[in-house]
Amino acid sequence: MFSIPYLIAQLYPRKSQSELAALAEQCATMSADYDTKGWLLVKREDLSQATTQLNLARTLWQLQFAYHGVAEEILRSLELWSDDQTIVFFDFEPETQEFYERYFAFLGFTVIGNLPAETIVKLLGTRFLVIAAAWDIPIYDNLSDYFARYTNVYGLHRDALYLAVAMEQNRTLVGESGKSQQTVAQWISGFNDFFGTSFADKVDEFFVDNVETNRLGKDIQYVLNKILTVYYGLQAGFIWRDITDVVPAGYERGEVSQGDADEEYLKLFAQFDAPGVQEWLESFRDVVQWLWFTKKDEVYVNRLFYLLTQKADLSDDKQVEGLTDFIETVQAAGWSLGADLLYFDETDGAFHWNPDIVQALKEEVEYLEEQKKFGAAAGKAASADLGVPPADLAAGIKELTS
Amino acid sequence: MEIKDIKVEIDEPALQQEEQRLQQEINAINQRLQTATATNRPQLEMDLKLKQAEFDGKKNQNDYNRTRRGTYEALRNSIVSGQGWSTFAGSLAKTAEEKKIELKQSQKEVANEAEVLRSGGQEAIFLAQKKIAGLQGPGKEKLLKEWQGIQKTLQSGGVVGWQYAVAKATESDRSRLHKYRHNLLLSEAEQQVVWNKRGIKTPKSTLQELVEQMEKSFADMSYDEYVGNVGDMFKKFLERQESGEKINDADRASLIGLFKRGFKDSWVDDAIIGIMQNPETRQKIGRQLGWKNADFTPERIGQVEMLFASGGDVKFAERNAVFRELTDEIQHGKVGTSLNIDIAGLFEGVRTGAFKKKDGSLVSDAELQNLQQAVRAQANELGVEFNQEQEKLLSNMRNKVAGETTQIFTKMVEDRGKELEEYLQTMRDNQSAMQFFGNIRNEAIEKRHGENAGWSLSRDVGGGERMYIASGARAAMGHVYGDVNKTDVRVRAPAHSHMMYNLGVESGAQVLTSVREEHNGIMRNGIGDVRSWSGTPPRHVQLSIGVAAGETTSSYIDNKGLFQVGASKKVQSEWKSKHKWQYESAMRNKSEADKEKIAEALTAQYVVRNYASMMKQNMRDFLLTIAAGSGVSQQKAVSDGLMSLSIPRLLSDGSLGSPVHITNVSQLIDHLRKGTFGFRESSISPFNPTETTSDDFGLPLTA
Repeated sequence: MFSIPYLIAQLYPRKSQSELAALAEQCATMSADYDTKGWLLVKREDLSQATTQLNLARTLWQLQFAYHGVAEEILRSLELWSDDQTIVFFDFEPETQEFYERYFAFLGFTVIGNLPAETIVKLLGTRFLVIAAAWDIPIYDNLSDYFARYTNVYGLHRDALYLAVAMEQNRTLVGESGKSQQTVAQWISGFNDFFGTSFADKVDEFFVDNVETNRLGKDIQYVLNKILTVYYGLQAGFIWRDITDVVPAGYERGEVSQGDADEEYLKLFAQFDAPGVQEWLESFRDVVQWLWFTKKDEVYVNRLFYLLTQKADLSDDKQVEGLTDFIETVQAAGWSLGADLLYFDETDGAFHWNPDIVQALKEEVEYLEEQKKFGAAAGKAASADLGVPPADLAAGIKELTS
Repeated sequence: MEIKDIKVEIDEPALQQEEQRLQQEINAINQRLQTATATNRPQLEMDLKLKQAEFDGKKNQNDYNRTRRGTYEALRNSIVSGQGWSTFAGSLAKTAEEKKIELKQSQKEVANEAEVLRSGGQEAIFLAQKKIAGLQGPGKEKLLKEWQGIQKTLQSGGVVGWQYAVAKATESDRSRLHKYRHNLLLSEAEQQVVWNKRGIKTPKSTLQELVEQMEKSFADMSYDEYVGNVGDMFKKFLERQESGEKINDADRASLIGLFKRGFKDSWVDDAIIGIMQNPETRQKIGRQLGWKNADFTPERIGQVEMLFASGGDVKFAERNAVFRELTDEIQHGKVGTSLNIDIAGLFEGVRTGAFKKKDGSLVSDAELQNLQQAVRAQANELGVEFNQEQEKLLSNMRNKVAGETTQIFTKMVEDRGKELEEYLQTMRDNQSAMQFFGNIRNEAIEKRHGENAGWSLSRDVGGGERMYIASGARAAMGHVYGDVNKTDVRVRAPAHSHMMYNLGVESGAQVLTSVREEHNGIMRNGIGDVRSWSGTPPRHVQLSIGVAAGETTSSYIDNKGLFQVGASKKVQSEWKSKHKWQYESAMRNKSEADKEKIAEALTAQYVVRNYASMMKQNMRDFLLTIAAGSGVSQQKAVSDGLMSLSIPRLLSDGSLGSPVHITNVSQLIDHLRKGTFGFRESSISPFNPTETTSDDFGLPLTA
C-alpha cells in the first residue's frame, strides 16, 4: 500500500520537498475521490487543474483498498484524450504531461487485475511496464488477481499466453546506454533462447554468468528481473497455476487440496463408461503423445493400462481395434508393455487380456494405493516414494510384459 | 495394381528446389538484418522467424515423405521376394518406426503452424486456407470448424483475430497441454486441479464456464454502455418471456456475465438506473415492482439480482416480493420467528392448507393474520408497496375462515399452491444462476459492497428438496454482515457508503437519504481515532455531512468557518422530490429569499436526522467524519467534541428561526433532545471526551 505522500512524490517529480508536503496535506484533507459518475463530468480541459490532479491522486490512494470501476473509466478517458491514444498530451506543460504518464502507469498497474485483457495488453506491451517495474509496483501479484477471477483452465491458459505475447512485442529500452541496452522484446527473446538447469528458477539463472545482464547495474537488473518474472509466470502458467484458496464470485466453496493433474486424469478415467472408453481410444495418438512428451514413467503407464483392462469392452470390435492400435503405439513410443497383454484366442475366436499381466498390474496398483493410505495416515509427505513399487514387483511386470 | 507397383510418388527435384528457394529467402533476410535500423529490425526478425518456420515445416514434410517412400519400397520388396501375405497385412498398418516419426512430425507441424499463426498476417491466412482445403470429408468436421473459426478471425484483421490465432498457436508451446482441447480428459484433469487448489467445489453445470466467456466479452464496456445494456438486455428478455420463448443456459450466462461485469466494477446499483432509463423496462419492470425512482436500497439490489437470475421474469419478481418477505419474516422477524415454523412448513401450508409449526401443531388464524401484518410492515419499511395481485397472494396465507365453504377454501389453496409451485419452478429452472447469486459474498465484501450479496441462499424447501431460493433483506444482510462483523476495521473503514446508507439519485448525484443504523453500527464499529478512520473515502464524508457525492464540502463553509447544513442544492432537490408537499406548503406565500431559506432549513432537518442515526451508533466516528468535512481538527473533534456547524431552523409556526451555531457536540445533543430541528432524539448518550494518541493522518511517509 502506497501512502499519499509517496504517491504525490512519484506523480510530481519536479516539485520541491516543501511543495510536495503541501500537496500531500491538501490531498489527504481537502481532495475528493471520484466515483464513476463523478469522473464522467470531468473534461479534458480540467486535467491541467491542480484540483483534478489531487482528486485523481486521492482516487488512486482510495483504490488501493478496494477496486472500483471508476479506474477503468479514468484509464479509458486518458487514453482517448491523449494524442493517438498514447498518453502523450502535446499541448500540456511538461509537468502535467509527466503527471499523467506516471498516473496512467501507477493506476493501471495498481488495478491491473481488474482490467479487461485488451487494456492489460497495452500496459504490458508498452513503456508503462518498465515504469511500473522501476517503481516497484507489485506487478506479478496484481496481475495474478486477473487470473484469480477466472477458473476455466482453457481461458486461463489462453489469456496468459496472450499477455505473454504482448510482452514479447514491448519495444521499450531497458538497460544502460553504452553498456547493455535492449528492448524488452529483445531481452525476452534472449531469455527464451536461454536454457536453465531448473524449470522453476529459470529467471534467476538468466542473471548468472550472463555477459549481457552482468553489465547492467543492480537496480536495472532488478527491474529486468521483475519484468522477466512476470513474463515467465505468464508463459509457463505459474501465474494462474499457483493460485490457491481463492474462490471467485459465483462458485461454491469446497476443500482446498493440492491437486496433481496426472492423478486426476486416472481418477477421471476410472469413471468412464463404455462409450467414454471408445471415445478415448479414438484419440489414442494424443494420449501417447502426451505420455511421451511429459515423460510418464513405466508405473504410471501401467496404472493406466490396468484401468483400461477394467474398463474396455473386448466384445466390441471397435474397441479392440482401438486397443491394438493404442498398445502398438505405446510400444512404438518406447514403453515395454508387451503385445501379449491383449491376445486373440483362436479357440473361442475372441480377444482376451492376459490374466497374469492383469494380475501383476493389479498388484502394483493395489500396492500404490496402500502406500498412499499409509502415507496419508502417517501424515508424511511421502510423495517422493509414491508411484515406485518394490523392485521385485516392477521387475516382475517388466518380465511379463517384455 | 500389382504389389510390385506399390510406391510413394515423390518429385525429389521439386522438393529440393522448394527447400533451396526458402533457404535463399532466409539468407536474404539475414543479410538485410546486418544493416537493419532500430525501426525495421523487429519486423525483419519477425519475418525471419516466420520464414524459418516455413522452411522447417516444409523440410519436415519432405523428410517424412522420403521416409514413407523408403518404408513402402522396403515393404514392396519383401512381398515381392515372397515373404507372404501375413507380413504384408501386418505391415499395412504403419510400422512402429513410422508412427514414431509421425508423432514427431505431428509435434513439429503444430509448432510450425503455431509460429505462422502467431504472426496473424497473410501467411497465417494462407495456412488456414490450406488446412481447410485438406480437411474435407467425414470425420474431419470438428477440425474443419476449428480452422474455419481461425480463418474467420484472422480475416477480420482485428485484435480479436490476432488474439485467437495467438492463443491457438501457442498451445503448441506447452507440451503439458499439447492438443488438450482435443483431449477432454486431460483438460478436465487440469481443470480439477485448478478447482482443488483454489478450494472450489466442482460445479454441477457448465454455466460458470459460459459466464466467464460472457464476462470477458463484456469486459470492454464503458459505464454508459453497461447501463444502456442492462436496459436493452432486459427489454429483450421481457419480449422473450412474453412470447413464451424458453431461456437457455447461454441466455442465463449472458445475463450473469453482464451482471458480473457490473459487479466487478461496483456498478450493480447502476443497473437500477439502467432499468429506469429505458422507457420499456421502466414501464414493465420498474412500474410492476413499484419503483418510483432510481434510488439505491439493498432491497432493490435484491430485486435486480433476481431479475438477472430469472431472465427478466416479472411475474416471478412479483411473487418473489411476497414469498421472500414471508420466508424472511418467519426466519428473522419478531412476529414470524415466534410462530416457530420453518420454510418447509410454510410452503407445505401454502400447498395443503394446513400451516404446521415445527412441533406439529397448527398455526392459528390470529397468528397468520399477525404474520401477514408483519410482512406488510416490513415491506413498507423497505419501501415496497404491494400491488393488487401481491396483496391477494399475501392475504391468501390463511386458514379456512368462518362461513367459507370448503369448496371455496380448497380452490383458494389450489390457486396459491399453484403460484408457489410456479415460483419454485422458476428457481429450479434457473438453479445454476441462483447458485451463482448465492456465492458472491466474499467478493462483495472484498469490494466493500456487501449489499450485493446474500439475495439467494440454499434452503430446505420441503419434500426432501434443498435448493437456492431468493432471500429477503434480513436474511441477505444477515448472511453478509455476520461475516463483515468479523473483519478488521482496516477492511471496514474504506467501505463504500452503500454498505450502510440508502442513497437517492434524483439530483443526478448520490445523496444520503437514510442511514441503515444496524449496518452503520457494524461497518463503523471500532473506528475511534484518526488512524482507524483514515481509510474512509472522501465520498463517505460528503454523504455523511450532507452534501451530494462529488461536491466539495469546503465550498459550504462560510467565512466564520461554519459548515452550512442543508445548503447543498442537490441535497435539497433530493428531499424536495421525496417530500414535495411538505416543501411546497412551507414555501407557500413566502418571498423568494425566504423560500430559499426554508428549503435549506427543511433539508437541514433531514440531514440532522441522519446525523442522529450516526451519533447513536458511533459518536467518535461521527465526530471524525463531520470534522473532516467541515475543516475542523479531527484530533480536537474526538478529544473535545469540537464541531463547527450552522444549522438553519424552521419554527413550528412555519417561520424561520435564527440558525443554530454548533461548536461542540454536546450542544447538538441538547438540541436534538429539545427537538430544535423538528424531531426529538433522546437516546443519544452524552459525549464523553477522551484522550487520543494518534497525532498524524495515519499516512506513513514512505511506501
